Amino acid sequence: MELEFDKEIDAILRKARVGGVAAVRAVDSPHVDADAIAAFAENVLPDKAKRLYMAHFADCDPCRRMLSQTMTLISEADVTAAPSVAKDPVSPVLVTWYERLFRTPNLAAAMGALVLTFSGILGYMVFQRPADTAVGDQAKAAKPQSPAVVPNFNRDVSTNSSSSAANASAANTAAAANVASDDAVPQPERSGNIPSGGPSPDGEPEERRSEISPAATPATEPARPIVSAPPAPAASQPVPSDDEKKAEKDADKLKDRAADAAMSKTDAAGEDVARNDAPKAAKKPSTGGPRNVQMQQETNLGAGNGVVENSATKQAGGKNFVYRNGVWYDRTYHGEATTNVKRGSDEFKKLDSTLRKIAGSIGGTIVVVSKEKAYRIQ
Amino acid sequence: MSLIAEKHKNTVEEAIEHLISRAVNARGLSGSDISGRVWATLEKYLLRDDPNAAHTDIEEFVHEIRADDLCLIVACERGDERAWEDLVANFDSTVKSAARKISSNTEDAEDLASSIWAELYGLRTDADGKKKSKLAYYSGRGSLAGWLRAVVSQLAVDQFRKQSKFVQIEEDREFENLANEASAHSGNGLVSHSDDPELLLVNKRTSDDVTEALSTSIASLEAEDRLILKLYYFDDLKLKDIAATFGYHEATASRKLVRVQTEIRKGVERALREHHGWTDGEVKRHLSETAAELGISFETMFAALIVLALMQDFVMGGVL
Repeated sequence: MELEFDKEIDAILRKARVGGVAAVRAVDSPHVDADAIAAFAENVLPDKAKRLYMAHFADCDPCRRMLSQTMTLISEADVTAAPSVAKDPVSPVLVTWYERLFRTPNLAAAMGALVLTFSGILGYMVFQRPADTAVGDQAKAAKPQSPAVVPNFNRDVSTNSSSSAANASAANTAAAANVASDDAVPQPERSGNIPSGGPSPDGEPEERRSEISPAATPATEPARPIVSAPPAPAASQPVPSDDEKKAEKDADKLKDRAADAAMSKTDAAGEDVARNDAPKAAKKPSTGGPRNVQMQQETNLGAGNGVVENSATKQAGGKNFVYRNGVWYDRTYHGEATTNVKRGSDEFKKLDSTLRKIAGSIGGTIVVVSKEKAYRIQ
Repeated sequence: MSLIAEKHKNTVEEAIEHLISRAVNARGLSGSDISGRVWATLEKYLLRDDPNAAHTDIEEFVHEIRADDLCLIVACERGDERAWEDLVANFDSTVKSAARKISSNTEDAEDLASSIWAELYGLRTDADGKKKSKLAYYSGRGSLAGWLRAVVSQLAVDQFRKQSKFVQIEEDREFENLANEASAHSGNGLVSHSDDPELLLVNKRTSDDVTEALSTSIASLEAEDRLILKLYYFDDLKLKDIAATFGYHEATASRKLVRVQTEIRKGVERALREHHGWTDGEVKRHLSETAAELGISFETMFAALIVLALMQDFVMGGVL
């Protein structure tokens, strides 16, 4: 049974410290010395000695009071000593991992350098982006705007004849076998080799056969970047300068040499492929009326005859043509007077076969120079 | 050497050598330098009460002696200046702190602290001309700081005793005045509530019976219980400190105190019934009234009584 605190007896004992109760009692045994009092207060005496001293303290009020005073001093000293122990500098100070991190020497300088480095990198990236974007925009703007530029090998039919002409592939060759047919047999789509171009500015090769070689695919002829600036959509295009013409001629020469090399290898194969693919090409749906069909055929022809196209230039019959204001201009044309000739007319039939082939390969209106004469074939 | 000493000689010598080796700073002392001190401590605290103590008990006893404190004190006794410097440097604050807590003012505290160091150094000489130093009384069993606090307490009482010789008459007169005031003043709840002589006499006899029963009951307690009761009620010590001295938990001390209260009540009731002829109802009623009626004036009387008792004790008995 748990005993309860007796409040009445507690009150009586607290208050009634009268002489009868707390009377000073003297014992016969000698009083306890300071060493025994301290040892008893710290509870370091053996059990037997402790009991003997306990009996003395219980009966000897002076020694008991000395003991109680020593106990009070020790208790107060322990209380005041507790925080000082915690501040002992000898004791090891536990350093947490994040405190250790911040104790790294020159950490501030290292962090500052890191911040500057990353800021520089970010700034560089930010500044580079507008430049790239501007270049990309320029590239997009360089493409002819009225025609939709379609990539190379799977050439889509566009309603605009000029668009088909503008979709010149990087490597393009005139189909040698198909060029021979004046019936404008639709030629299959081919990714052509480099067409053989005439060495002279106004010269045109007699028969340039840029064979379509299946092997001469983009692997051998990667897509050519647009060399010249795209033609202006509505405004009249300026006549290319002499320097530009020279650069174009040099490029044409390189293309011609490569095309010649390719032609010599793939001549026969190209003819066979052209014949086989002709029906397929003929089955391609047309987008509109007869003119569209003709345009499509012309497109195919151009492709089949080894016309090298890019977005604004074409090559046919060893000549380079630039598309301007809806007309394909021979680069050798310098603004002299032209003789208008319509396709299918008697005058057209009287033209040189090369011119007729060129007209057949390049649809639309072309201005071609031949034997120091300029013809405008429509 | 006594028979007891002969029996434990080898054990003690080995333990003393081990004690020297345990010391962080033995201060150049050897086993023979502290042997006498250790033997005296053994006699005082172990062998006197238990002559047949086992070797393990002796080894354990010597092992628990504080080696560094003992070597420091012994070195100071031998006149080691460096040891004295270390003693003062490490324990001057302890002495001053104890003196401040005991003394009523700063001046008395400084005087007391200076007296302590003088007593430790041994300014007095005996008949043979040797210095009488209190250092000789340190056994090393308890801590040096605890021992110094006990020395401060004792010296404070000695100084008070010397000073009280000159004011003994005054305190007696004061006690008499307090007693007369207590008996005559109507505000004294214990002695009198009214001017009725018969009622006054009844009240006084009631209080006397309770006081006597209380004293008898306390005396019948076990020594440990009696000491706990007196330390708690008469010396106003905390249960925490009492528990630390006795070596158990504070909760254990609290349970012991409650048990003591129960025994006190039983003893008081039994004494009132058996020795004073009270009935159970009277016992309960008067105990309640006594607990409520004990007034402030008795505290004043008690304080004066304690002072007088202390003076008488220290004059007649002496403590050291």
